[in-house]
Amino acid sequence: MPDLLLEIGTEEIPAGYIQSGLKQMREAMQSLLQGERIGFKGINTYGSPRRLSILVTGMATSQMDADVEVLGPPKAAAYDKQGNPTKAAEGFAKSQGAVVENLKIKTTPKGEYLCVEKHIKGKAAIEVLRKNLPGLITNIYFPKSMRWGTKEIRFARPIRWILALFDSEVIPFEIDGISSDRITYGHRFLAPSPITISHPKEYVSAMEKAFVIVDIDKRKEIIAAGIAEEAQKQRGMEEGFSYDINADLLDEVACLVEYPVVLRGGFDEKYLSLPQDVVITSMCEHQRYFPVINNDTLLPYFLVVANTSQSPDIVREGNERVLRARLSDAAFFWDSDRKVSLDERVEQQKKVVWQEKVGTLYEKTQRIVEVAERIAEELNRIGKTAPLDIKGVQRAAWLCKADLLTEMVYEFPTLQGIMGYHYASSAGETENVAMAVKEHYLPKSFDGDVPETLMGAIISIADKIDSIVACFHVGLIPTGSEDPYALRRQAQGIINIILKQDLPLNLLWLIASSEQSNQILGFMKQRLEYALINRGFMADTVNAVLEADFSFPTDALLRATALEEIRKMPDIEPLSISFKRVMNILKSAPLVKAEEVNESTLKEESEHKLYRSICEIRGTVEALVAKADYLEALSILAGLRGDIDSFFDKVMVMVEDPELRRNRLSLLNEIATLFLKVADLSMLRQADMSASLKF
Amino acid sequence: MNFQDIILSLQTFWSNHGCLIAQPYDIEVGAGTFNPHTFLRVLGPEPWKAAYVEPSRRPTDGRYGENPNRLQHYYQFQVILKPSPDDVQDLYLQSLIRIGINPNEHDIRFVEDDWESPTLGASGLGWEVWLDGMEITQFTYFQSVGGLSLFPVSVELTYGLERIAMYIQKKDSVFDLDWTDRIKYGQVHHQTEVEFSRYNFEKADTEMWFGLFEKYEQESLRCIKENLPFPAYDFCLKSSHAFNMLDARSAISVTERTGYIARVRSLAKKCAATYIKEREEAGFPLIAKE
Repeated sequence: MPDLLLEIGTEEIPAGYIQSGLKQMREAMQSLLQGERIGFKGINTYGSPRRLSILVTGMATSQMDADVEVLGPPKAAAYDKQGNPTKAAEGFAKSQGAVVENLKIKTTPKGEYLCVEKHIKGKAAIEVLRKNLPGLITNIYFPKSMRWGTKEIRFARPIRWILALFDSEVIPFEIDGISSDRITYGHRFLAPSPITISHPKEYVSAMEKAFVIVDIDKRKEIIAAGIAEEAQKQRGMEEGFSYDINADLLDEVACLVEYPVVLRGGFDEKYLSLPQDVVITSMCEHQRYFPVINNDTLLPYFLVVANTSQSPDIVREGNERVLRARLSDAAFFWDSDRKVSLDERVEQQKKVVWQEKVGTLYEKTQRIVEVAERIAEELNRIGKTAPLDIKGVQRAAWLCKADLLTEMVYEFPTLQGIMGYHYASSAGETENVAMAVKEHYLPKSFDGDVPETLMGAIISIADKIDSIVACFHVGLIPTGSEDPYALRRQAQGIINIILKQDLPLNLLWLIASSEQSNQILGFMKQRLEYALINRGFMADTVNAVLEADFSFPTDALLRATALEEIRKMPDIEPLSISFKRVMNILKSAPLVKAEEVNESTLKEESEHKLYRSICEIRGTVEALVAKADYLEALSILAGLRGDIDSFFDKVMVMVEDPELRRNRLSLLNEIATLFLKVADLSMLRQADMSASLKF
Repeated sequence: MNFQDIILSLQTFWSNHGCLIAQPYDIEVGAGTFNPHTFLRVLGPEPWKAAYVEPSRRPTDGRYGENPNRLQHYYQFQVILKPSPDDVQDLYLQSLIRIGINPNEHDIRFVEDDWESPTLGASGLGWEVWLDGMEITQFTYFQSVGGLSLFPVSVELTYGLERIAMYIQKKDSVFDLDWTDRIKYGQVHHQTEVEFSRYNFEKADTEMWFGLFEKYEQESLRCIKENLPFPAYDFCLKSSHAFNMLDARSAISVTERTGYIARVRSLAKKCAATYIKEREEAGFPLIAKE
């Protein structure tokens, strides 16, 4: 069975585009072959900076035959009153290579139509590929694409050759003047001559001979092994030596080379007196080196992945020289930055605009101080968290953005906060303050780590809530995919911090009296919903809980946990159906105002029974809710089910007598009020429905 | 190889490959891209191949001659090829051989680096070229310039001359470079770095520069009205330099900054449009007639 090989040869494609390009090629190839009824056994993709390749094995030589029905004109237009075929019918038959006698009538939702049944003979696979491969190539999407020379097509970087083989045969096609062939190129420097591939099976080994490891995972293995080997050499000299392979860096580096060779270089030990983060960032971010670490202590070495085995000493020396320049720059910044006090840095923020419509960074800092102080005082008042040093909170808030104006952060933006920590420590601020400065940027992504210290958590919340309120205030509200100020991430951060640190904070209180309170609350509610679903709660559990109340995220979490637990009991589903009836009636006939149930107006026995039951449990449920024992509260509430059901069986709520009706509605309202202290069970989906949704 | 031999070798190489060897422009620019040999010539359908050294001024990068890697005035070697040839990467690598860097003995990499110039309304895709981990060249396929989308596409090679020379001569400070075998880079430029750092950061008369910015902008706009794209572009460059001076003096707040950049960009766009119009009226004279 034949194999197919397609290689798009390019100038160096950005490392981040390679995996996504290959994934798209695989999916497009799969749907092409399936859609065109061409069988195949397997698909492999290969890639490097200079090529995106796909190998399909065990292909059919042609499409499968197919029986198809082709619809023609409507029956009414196909035969005249005498039942003789019209010109339309004859024309259709002719166009389909059929005779009128063989035409059939097909009933469709739109009516009856002429129809011809055809047996289509499958075309040769190579023919189908010839037609479709150009589209497969040009439809690959890249975040940024370009044009070059005088060509009209766009690609991530210029396409320089296309290799397309079906077994030993070239699949002939052309894209904007670039013709497919069986020629490829090896390593740019180690094997510069053209290489002829006679069969797809040869591809991987032929490329390896030409110093190109086309398999990305294999390159990663080689790099990892090379790092381990260099580490091994070092281990003889130093005990406890370890190395850290950052997975993202490994992915990136593997896509920056075709023929990886790991080399170890060194740098002057004097740079080890710089903050370790600075040295590591200089190495990883700018140079893509792997640091060498011994028991958490950085060693004066680095591992670089070269793209060549030639002249390792020259390459090593060159890389050492570059790192030396970078580290000497960093040392220069470290010294000169510390000549300016952090308070002066805050003063400098008066000249920096944070957001054009909102104001300067200095003003933002002032607001962060106020908000952080307010949160800290509230937490101290509630007393559930460790007591906070208000002065420390103020200081940390005041300094939290001070490092933004340092040369180091200007040069290495990812060190924001981290440098804040180092500069604060070195200026004699307390460890708590320095740590809070560092941590207030967390979390850095939707599900990223949150601050570990309470002070860091408070500054982080203060900074984020300020950004959200300020942006909403000037109309910078996220819509759809547009969220230039990352407000969603910041809102998510607030929720995640509150939940993780178990902070008894009320969202409504937190956003204070903003004009956009309702909008912001709705925005925060979505993030809370996301956080709870992310923790594994069922979506309808989350809805039920948040519908009741979402202002205290930590409380919502407890209620969701209880509800999810009690949903394991069989009684809950019928209870939720009954509760839905309660809510539906209350919604369709809202009480003018909630009133007490008048006991003397109760008429039927089931009314009395329900009222008695409510009175019996009310105190207990309220007490349980007060101490947040929602599981127990829910199981007691679940006991009302029988009474509610018999109430609905025997009693009509919406009766003529206004007094009787009001009293019954009030009774239902009592039930709703009790349940809504925990969750709105009417939001729960019924089991049969949720089961059917799975299919 | 000394500093001037590197320049001479690159000039010879690109001259042999059909480039016009142009001279630096006589107005302050931030990079070789600003030179009209690049900015204007990449517009429109006419082919163009040029190479030149461009003394480039970035007032905010001054370090009083104290930092071994940073200068407020430095040299770029600029090559512009339109349309971009299919073998441009190979040509570039051959040019490195000419200055004593044999690609087979080094680790040379083309690492993604997209380029954007808000002042010129320009953007491109390409790489920074790494020589054993050091960035030595910006390699860019221009996609748009002066707000206009380009066809054919030009490729720009910008060699960082000091960096390359520091590598070749194995020097850790730019001031130690041999310009000739007898004169050091520092002997030519250390004093200028110290003086211009003082001038740019401390002494420049901001009132004068604000006034100049306005005047240059007005003059540029007047030239555009008169259909004089080259003079108009000269004044656009001058206003851009005035902005850079004010920026270095921290005389422009961050809010205003965007506004000033937008004003220069608006001039650049108008110059580009006027240039195209004039070339079209002249029948695009550089297109070879069959």
